[in-house]
Amino acid sequence: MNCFDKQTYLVFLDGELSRRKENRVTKHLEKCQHCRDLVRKLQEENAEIAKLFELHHRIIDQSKQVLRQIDLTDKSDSGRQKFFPRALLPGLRIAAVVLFVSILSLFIFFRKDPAVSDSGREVLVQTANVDGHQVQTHVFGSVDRDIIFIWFEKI
Amino acid sequence: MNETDILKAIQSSLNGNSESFALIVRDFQEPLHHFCFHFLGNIQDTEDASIEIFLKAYRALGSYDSRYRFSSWFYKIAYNHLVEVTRRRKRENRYSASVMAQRSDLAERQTPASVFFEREEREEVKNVLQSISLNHKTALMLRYYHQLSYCEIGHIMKIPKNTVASLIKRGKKELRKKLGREEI
Repeated sequence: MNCFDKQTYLVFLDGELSRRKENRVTKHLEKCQHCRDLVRKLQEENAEIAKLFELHHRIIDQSKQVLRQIDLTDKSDSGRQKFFPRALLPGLRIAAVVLFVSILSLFIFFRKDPAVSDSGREVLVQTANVDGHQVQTHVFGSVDRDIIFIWFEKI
Repeated sequence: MNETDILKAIQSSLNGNSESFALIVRDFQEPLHHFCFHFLGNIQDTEDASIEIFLKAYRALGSYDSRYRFSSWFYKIAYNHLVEVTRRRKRENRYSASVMAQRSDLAERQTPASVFFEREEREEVKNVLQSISLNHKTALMLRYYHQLSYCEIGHIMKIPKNTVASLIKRGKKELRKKLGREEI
């Protein structure tokens, strides 16, 4: 009789064999008492291992503490939430990188263009779709004071 | 909670109803506590870590991909956090202090059953679990206590499926050796 090795039975018990191999192992176990005994011992060992990890102390309900922390975090973020809703944050990181490159070119643009007024110039740098929302990135540059304002507007 | 209920709770939380997240907390706090305790060794650190992990999960809800089971995604956040905490503790050399703290805070939380069964054998088991390799312990715990598949364990620990099988095999061998049991 062609018995399988111990590792195969271990993986069989973990339910990780391919369907085809699992069928072959199952068919073999129907005929081989020695392998059935081996599988039973391996199963008992697995059950013992699970028991080793059991804990026997009380676990308290932390849901209220978690909600309290969430409320505290949300309150401190609420000023920013208006302009930076949580769902937009991943997309804003990408927008920030694009913006950095755009600002560098804008510096050159402002310096070269004699038609820019002293009060500065507002430019719509980019409109992006971020998580289903249309977000415009605006830049206002004041040439004489070298001040740049950047803001994001959700349309 | 089944996956559909979890998805509804996630959607509701993302829409601003943080109370819905409490349902997820109640469903996962026991297995999470269990997972954290075997990394950190004492209740106080475990409870602190559990809250931090739930907060991290809440903040990352927008990135959850519903093609995968929520428990895999959640355990991965937990595992990453616990590895970071364990590394920080090693640098600060706090491990031995927290193991000492374990005895006193466990005494406050013991159930009548645990008092009854508190024998030398249980002490030996605790010491053995603390002494085996962390990767072996994690793989064995996720497989045999939390009943996760090799694929899920691999996703959580960021290792291939074959490596999971190998960790489980070597972990069992290490456990048997430390418990003085014979190979089957």
